[in-house]
Amino acid sequence: MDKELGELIRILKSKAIADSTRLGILIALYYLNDEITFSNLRRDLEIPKSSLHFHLSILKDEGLISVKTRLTSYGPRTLIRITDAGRELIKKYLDLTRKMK
Amino acid sequence: MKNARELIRRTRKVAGKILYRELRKAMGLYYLLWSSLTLSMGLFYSIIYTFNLSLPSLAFIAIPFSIILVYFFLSYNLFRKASRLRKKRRSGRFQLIFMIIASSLVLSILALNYYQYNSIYYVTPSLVYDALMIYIFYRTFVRGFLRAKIYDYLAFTSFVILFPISFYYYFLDYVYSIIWLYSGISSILEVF
Repeated sequence: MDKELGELIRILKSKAIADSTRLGILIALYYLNDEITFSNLRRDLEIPKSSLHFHLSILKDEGLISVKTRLTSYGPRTLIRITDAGRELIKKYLDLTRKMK
Repeated sequence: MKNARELIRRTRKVAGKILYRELRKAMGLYYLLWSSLTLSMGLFYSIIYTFNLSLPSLAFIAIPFSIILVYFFLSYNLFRKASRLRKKRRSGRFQLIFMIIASSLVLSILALNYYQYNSIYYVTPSLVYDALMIYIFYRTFVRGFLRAKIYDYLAFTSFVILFPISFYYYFLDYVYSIIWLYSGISSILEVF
């Protein structure tokens, strides 16, 4: 139990997910397992563009998400997707929080 | 420890907000998609009768089924998201349920064509289809992530009641299509 708690705290201390917005985005991307557009994510979270850009830059720099601009049927869109590293991290986080319950 | 707990609590709220809105949108699109089926079919038959096109009898079955298959493919993609939001992933079972749903609809239409005077042959598959729609409602709204709103109840209840009877009274297709259109718009407007 102590080992798991220590592991959970260690994960939560890492820069990328030490913030509830970033961790929340990653968990949502993990469950959706699909691309989400920047504008949709901004609308969902109701936060300013600059804040979302800041959070996504950190997640991208840590290799937890991929951000690509692509031409869609609605015009050019910035698409965000969770990477394998991100998926692994969230899986571990969810397992630990489930065990802590 | 207290900080970690607070972080987990806030995180759940953020993730829940994104997932709720994305799933609501998916449900809205699902309602809108199926509300347009009657229109698509109506358009197909209107073109044939207006221009007096003489299609081989196989085309009369193949073209509507192709339209339905496109609808099922799009629905599957929309529901995939909802099926992931469960404790255990059961995508194999989910695909199987979707295949049974599609085949029960196909069977009911086929049976209607061949056994018009023996209702049991097409009422049975349409009741199977109804039962599976109830199951989808249960998985999405009762055991799933979304909470059912009045328009969700309206959409599913109208469909379950009117779908088997609509084989006798075609105008009922338009009734539940309009209800689904309303549910689709309401669902999407909720998150925009």
